[in-house]
Amino acid sequence: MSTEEIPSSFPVELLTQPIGARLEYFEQRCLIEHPRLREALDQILQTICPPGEGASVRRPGTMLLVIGPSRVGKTTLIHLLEERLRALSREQMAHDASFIPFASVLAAGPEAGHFDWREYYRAVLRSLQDPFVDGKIARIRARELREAMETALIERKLLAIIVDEAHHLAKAASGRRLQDQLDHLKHFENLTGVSHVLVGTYEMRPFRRVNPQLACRSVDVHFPRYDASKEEDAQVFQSVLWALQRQLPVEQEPHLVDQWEFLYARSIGCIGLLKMHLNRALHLALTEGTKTVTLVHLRKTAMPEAKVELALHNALESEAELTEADGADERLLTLLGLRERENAVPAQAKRKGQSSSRKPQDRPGKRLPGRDSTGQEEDYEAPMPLSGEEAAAG
Amino acid sequence: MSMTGQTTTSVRVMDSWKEESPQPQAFPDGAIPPRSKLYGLMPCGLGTLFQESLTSYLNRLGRRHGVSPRALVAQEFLPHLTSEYPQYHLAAFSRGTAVGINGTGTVAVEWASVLEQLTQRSDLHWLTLRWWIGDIQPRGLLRKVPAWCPACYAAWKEGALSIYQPLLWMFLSVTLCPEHEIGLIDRCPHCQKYQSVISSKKTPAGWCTQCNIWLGGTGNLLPGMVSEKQREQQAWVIRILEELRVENASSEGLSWKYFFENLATCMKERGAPSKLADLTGMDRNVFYFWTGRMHLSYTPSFETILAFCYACNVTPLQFMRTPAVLFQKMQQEALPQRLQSKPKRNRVDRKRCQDVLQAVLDGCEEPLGITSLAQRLGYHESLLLRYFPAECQQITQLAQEHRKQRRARYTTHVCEEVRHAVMDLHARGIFPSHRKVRALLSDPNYMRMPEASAAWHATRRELGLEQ
Repeated sequence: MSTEEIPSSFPVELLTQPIGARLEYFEQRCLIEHPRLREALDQILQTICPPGEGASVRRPGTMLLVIGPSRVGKTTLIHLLEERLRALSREQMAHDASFIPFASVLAAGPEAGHFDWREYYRAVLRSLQDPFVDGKIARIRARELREAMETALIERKLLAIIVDEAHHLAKAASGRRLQDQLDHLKHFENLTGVSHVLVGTYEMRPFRRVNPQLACRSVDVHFPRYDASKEEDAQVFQSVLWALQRQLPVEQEPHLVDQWEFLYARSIGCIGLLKMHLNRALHLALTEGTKTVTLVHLRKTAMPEAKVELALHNALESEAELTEADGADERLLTLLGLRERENAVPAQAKRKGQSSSRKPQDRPGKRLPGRDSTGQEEDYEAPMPLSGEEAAAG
Repeated sequence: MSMTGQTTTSVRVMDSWKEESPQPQAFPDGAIPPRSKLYGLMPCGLGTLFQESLTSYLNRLGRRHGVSPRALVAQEFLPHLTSEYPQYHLAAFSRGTAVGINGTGTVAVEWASVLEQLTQRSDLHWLTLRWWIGDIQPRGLLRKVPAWCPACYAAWKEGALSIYQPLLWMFLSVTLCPEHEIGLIDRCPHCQKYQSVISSKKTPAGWCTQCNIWLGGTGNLLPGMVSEKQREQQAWVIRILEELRVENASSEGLSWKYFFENLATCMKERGAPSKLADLTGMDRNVFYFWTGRMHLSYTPSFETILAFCYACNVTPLQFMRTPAVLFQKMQQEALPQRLQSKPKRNRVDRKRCQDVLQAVLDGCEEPLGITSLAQRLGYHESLLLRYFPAECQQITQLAQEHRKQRRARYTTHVCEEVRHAVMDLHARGIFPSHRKVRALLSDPNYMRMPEASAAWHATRRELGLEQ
């Protein structure tokens, strides 16, 4: 393997730093960019603004649902998205001091069974550096806050609102209520042209089915875990491990790739879970004063089987719903009626064949004509109770 | 260690990113240019005769932020200003003195600078008179309270345009709207109060800052004030202002010292002071004061300068550029022209007032009250009360009686309508409940009147539907 392919290592001077600094380096400053992350990022950016055009040309407001398992790296995705939007908007921001490309908010958990829109409006206004959201002349009423947010979205010419933990919108909202929540967001998109990027866990799956109109106007971005049963995913997972093991600030580089199956099993392919596992193992190793992270450390800090199984069941169930099964085109064409017209003659023949093989329902107790072939017609008719017509016929 | 395939991931080391903070800072310091604290609204009419005034921009900015303009000033402006504005002073300042923000002095310069800093715009200084007419003395330049043209407000509303206050209406010398040729008014027709310069409410421009009533309309053409001569003079004033604005915009700034230097040059001509005095009707010593040739010198107000130029039939800009033009005018023998920029309120046309009052007393006109009559005549009501006390007292009594009768007729009409609605419902076999009767009335709020409610009950009792 060529030298260029070896991932970069941590700065050597870190080894002289205290444990806290080394932990902080690995836990908070190392950011893994892997293919799934990049694909999701590119898909989001293509929807918000066309590539190569910067922020001066924008697409109409769209709702993006970024769905993935817990701890797959959604917050990292948001961070990278913010960075890319800033880079795209740099020229326009230099030209127009009012322009702010995005607002990033965290959807708060519901209180008293309903989503608090006022807190949401305040969070967006704070993100847009509104000087009147807190303080003596803060707006209190929901209507005032909503109008202030609408004006801010228009005046600041926002491209997107990024909502983390967006599955909280679905909590305590059944059917009709959920539709209202999403319609409310759609109203802002229509009014201001801003896109919503709703990032959340698989609890957001009902969002996709709530309304046919919304289904046609929203974009799903599935950000799944790596599935090691596929060769390609397994290779990427191993390359992530390799990159991470080079960044662990220990005297001796550990051999994590050799244990990749164990680490995969305990993280179910979610890079966030993997990173957290390695954070804990590194903490243990540094506390014990060892020179490297060993399998013992990894086993001691691994997530329990029960929790992993729970997460895996949830992920498998959700992936089945979100992944399109084979034959989708055929099914759609059948529903649209195209397949039925092409198969009309064989279908009728099939139905005739089926009916001829069935016993005649309108002749209960009657023996089939071909059953008794020799002079059985009179005997054949006698046991049968005469029908009205036959009695009339004599 | 064994690896197959190529490495397709990369690791980046971030400078600062705290994963544990619930909302990572979206714009870390230094990552992007600083954003404006307030919205950078586009000033209305910039570069035209109807360009917006700075106080109007301030009010519009507050409303756009969804807060009261005065509260916006208190929170965002006061910390940046060198002058101190305690809370109670801010209220008084906002009601009247704040008009100086639109002027030529240090207050205007400071406020424009702070506003440009907060909005990150560089063109807001054009919204003050400093950049319209130059470094002229601020005395006699600005109105004390804002005035407006109702027809302009109505036209902008109809055309769905932004409603704002042009800087042109802030000039004391401008009394007619150049678009509609009607008088600018400074009192609300409903509550008779002046408008606040910096509003304390969120109501949009075009609505009274005191009583929230719409100020637009066909305009209040005040007879006796607008004559053909005044129209001509106002047209001349507008031409002068436009000339000065264009010159100021294209050069580095107008300086009025050239005006007085050229005047001093003219004064050296033999007999020039006397000729100027004859032309303008001003005392000849005044010109010496203006040019500093006496022990006491002062700069005249803008109004006085306009009157001087009008009488000499020159424009200030012409005189600044070419002093010889004044010599030519002095040589011509022409009737003196006097520029009357203010109406002469101390001369009341008593005969006209007497005729109108008598018409009301005779019953030829509807007795609406002294305030309405005074507005119609173009004078203050205190003048009518002073000159015609007896007639005013009779008219007041007539007006009160008229209002009572009008109220009684109104009440009767409402009760009749309620009664008809009840009867109509009963004839159709529908029980005349409160809601059903309300739905049939021309104004559902009639039912809130106690008389209407009493009529409803009485009619139902009459029909036997109620005991």
